[in-house]
Amino acid sequence: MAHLKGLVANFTKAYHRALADLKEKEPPLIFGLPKDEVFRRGEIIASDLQVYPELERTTALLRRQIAEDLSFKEGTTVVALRLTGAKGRLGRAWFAPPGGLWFSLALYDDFGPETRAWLPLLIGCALAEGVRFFGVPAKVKWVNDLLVAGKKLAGVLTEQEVCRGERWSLVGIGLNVNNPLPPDLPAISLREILGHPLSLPEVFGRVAACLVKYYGIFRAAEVRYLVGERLPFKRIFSLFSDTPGRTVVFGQDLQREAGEVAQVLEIDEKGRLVLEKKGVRFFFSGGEILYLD
Amino acid sequence: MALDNQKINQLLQSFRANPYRIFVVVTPHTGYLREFLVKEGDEVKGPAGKWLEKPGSPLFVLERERNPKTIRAKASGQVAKINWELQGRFVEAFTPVLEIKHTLTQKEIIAELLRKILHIVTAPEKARYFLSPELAQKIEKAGEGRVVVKPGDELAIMSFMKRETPIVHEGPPMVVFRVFFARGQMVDQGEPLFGLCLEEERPYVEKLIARVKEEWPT
Repeated sequence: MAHLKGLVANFTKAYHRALADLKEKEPPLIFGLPKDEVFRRGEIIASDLQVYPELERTTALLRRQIAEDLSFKEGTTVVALRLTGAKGRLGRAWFAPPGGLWFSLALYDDFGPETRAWLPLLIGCALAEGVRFFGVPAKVKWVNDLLVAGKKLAGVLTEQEVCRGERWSLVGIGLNVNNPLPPDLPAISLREILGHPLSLPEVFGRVAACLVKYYGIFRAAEVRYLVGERLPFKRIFSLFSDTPGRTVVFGQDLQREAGEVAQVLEIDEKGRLVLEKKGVRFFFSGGEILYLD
Repeated sequence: MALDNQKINQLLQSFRANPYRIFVVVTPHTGYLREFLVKEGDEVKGPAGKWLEKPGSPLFVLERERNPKTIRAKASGQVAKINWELQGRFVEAFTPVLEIKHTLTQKEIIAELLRKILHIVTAPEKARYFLSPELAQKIEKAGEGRVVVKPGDELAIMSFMKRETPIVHEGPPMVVFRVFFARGQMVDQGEPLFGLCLEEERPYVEKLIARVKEEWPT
């Protein structure tokens, strides 16, 4: 399906406006990293922007493009106004009607083993900062769900693709903007929170600009980590997340298993949850959690 | 591999002729081999219990820096060959010390045969694996060994480092004969995930399993 040139222009303009605004407002050092370097490293995001009226899945299209196009560009971002086969974690169905922001981006995955696990968490932080710009007090629930008043505003699914020996991280993002929501789901949209609809290109522009910032931070910090500097990710995550201190149910698939109850003590340097149950501390690195309080 | 009656007979014959597996016990690290605790012909037992919490039979004592360690059997069977010349000597890590001749059980024979005759899809990385929801639904409805997957169909989801990777079927349409992992199980790289066969091979695979069950009682 051909992508829409007029729409692409709207999304691109909104993105560049938001990026210029964000760059101007940021201090010279962002979490101790030079602003110019952060934005230079992050600006590959949305460097190739495609907008489609309808797709089955945006991530599936990126997968096909990686397989077919030898000169596939890192940062390629695919937006669809509607998805017919959207998926969440573990293949769960994701409702993606018109009005929501549904997009995926491809990042070349040469990340170090110590930093790899942090990328999905920082994507959640970028989303939180993006929607806070519109006055929405969203919090990140580990790993990267965006919640407002206990309801899901956005979700992220990071998938991996290995093609011709090269590894890609495909980040799929779904943000409820103006779209209707199924009544039986604990979900919420920006329109419901703010009481008025928002321009989809404007929301995309702001979120994409924040993704540029946080991906730039991720890359710049990774380089410094190699020469012995500390990663700022734990500090960043704590600014956006309300997971530490919560009582949670944790498990691999909480729709199919009961899970176990524990207290979240903190997020460690590797992005894992440090949990405590009956006086025993342990790590939880993959899977999902539900808040009990 | 094309499976037919002749091939079935050949496979069964090979297991009838040699229904054993030899486990070579090696030193886990350097040290002095102080004492053998078994002799050739002794029966030994591998770890047992629900969580394998009961250790296997003691085999020999390996001493490193005045710390004697009893090395135990990891498989049940008969002690077949002992390198007696190692007694009292300093040995390097991974030095073969003795062999355990393990008689294969019916379950193990079936597992080995399935590995030989099925098209095995292995785990690309050490990760947690989940059956794809579509396939899980089909298997639940029709049963294992009844569901056909076509090229491009999603078999499983690999979950690792907060990322998911779909494992997609490639090649001709095949029957999912066996699923070798439980939902959310951590599987090592290279370990089998699925055993697939062509639709026309399925009756032969079933026949082979039936014959093993007949010949090797539990």
